[in-house]
Amino acid sequence: MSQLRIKIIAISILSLSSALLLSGQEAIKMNLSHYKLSEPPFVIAETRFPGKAIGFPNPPTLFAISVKMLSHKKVLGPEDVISYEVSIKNVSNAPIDVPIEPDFNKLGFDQNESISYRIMDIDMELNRDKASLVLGNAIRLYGMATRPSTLVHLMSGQWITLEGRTRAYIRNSSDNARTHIFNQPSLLQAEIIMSKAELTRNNGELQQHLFFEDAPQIQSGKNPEITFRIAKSSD
Amino acid sequence: MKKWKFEDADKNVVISSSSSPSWAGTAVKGGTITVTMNDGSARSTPLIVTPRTGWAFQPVAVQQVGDGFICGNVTFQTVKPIDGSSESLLGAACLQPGFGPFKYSGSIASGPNAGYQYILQQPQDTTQFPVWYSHELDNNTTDFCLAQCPTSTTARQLSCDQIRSNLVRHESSQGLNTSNNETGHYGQYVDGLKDDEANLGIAFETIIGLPSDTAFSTVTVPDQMKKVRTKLLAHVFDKLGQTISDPGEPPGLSYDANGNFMGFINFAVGGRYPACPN
Repeated sequence: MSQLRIKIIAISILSLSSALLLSGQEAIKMNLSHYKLSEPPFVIAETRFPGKAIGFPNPPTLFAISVKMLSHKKVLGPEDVISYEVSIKNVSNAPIDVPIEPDFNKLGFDQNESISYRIMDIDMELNRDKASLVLGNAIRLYGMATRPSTLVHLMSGQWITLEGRTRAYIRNSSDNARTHIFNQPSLLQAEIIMSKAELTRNNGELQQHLFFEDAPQIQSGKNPEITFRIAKSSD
Repeated sequence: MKKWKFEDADKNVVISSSSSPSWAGTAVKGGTITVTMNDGSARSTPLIVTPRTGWAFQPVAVQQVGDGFICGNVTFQTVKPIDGSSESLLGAACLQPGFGPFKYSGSIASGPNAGYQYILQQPQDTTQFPVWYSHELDNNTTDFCLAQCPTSTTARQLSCDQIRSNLVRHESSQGLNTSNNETGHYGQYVDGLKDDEANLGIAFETIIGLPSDTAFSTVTVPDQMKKVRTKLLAHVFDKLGQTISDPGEPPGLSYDANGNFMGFINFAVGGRYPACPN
């Protein structure tokens, strides 16, 4: 955590007279390679997914996501470390606040008060033939409206870039995934998962109420292909 | 004994250098156990883990809701008049999966699955399946119902009772038609739960965390459940999962359960209901 480095690349939003000028710029680049995700000090009391209504259009796509491999390996195994860069671009017409704080403690939770905050989880996945596998641990970033430093205000067309690293282990593969992905060239993708959360204290226990938002579409056009080599060389 | 080794199908490995003739502990993931003897020879045996039973989430009942109900980014609301832009103006179904608190194991202390994590108890299923019907279908004296036409020599028309009946079937029927397709969205939800990859309860039984999974209960589990929810939605509402055998949209309001055309609905055009054909 202490090695986290945040590099502000864009010119301060306040110093620009027109939001239009910011379009097509990188807002923030963060190196999360040494960040280790750990269990926050709460339990999940409730998890709700967004309702989906038949016959109505899906929510508009907010983000486009692209991935770049930083290491030049095209073949990975369970013990290998994967280094990657994820770009998350606001493709909607309106500004969006995106969580950027990896340290939960920076939200400044008062032990006697309830707080509301937003979460952005980023999963790295391998995808091929509609099958998918999650690689390693997620990145989790927090943001709270009352702590502006935990959010980045992305104007339309702006993006953030996150550099991350994870061990390329597989947690639970299905037969379908083994057939379609293991030892086959597969697309490396990132999925971002947005949610809102409320943290309350109940009978001395910190409880999180988690409300997922609809996931934005995954843009796969620029993402690299890699092979997850799981069979032994003699197989 | 020189060394014990466990390897699962994803090539995750647990090694113990214990010289004990046994290697005991809770097991949640199958694989292969290999013991290396002091003379360098090795023997292997499969470790088979049987899933716990009774974890599948069962269908929740349909719940009728009124105007003002919010489903995702949509608010269900009666509008007047009802034009032909969407049959959803007459009624809609909503799937809202969810679950309550769950307990997890922490890391298993010893044995072939040392360090693995799992869910101890199935959480409560808080899923809801609300359906909403426009107030224009409340009785046969509404503007919409009064505008429906009798079948004539030139056009087959549906009565308001038939429209209401077809709508209820479309949203909340669990039945199958002669082609073995569900005749309602609720039936698609019920059928979707039979897909292990779309059933949250089954997912809770099978999900495991590895020793390196440092936020298993608060990050991994909810994120993985979101993927399960997406697969369930694919069964019910659209064809997101192209690999899922999806019967598609149940027959619409102008059709019977087998997809045969029954008659037209007299929707408003330009803010007024057209006069009935002679």
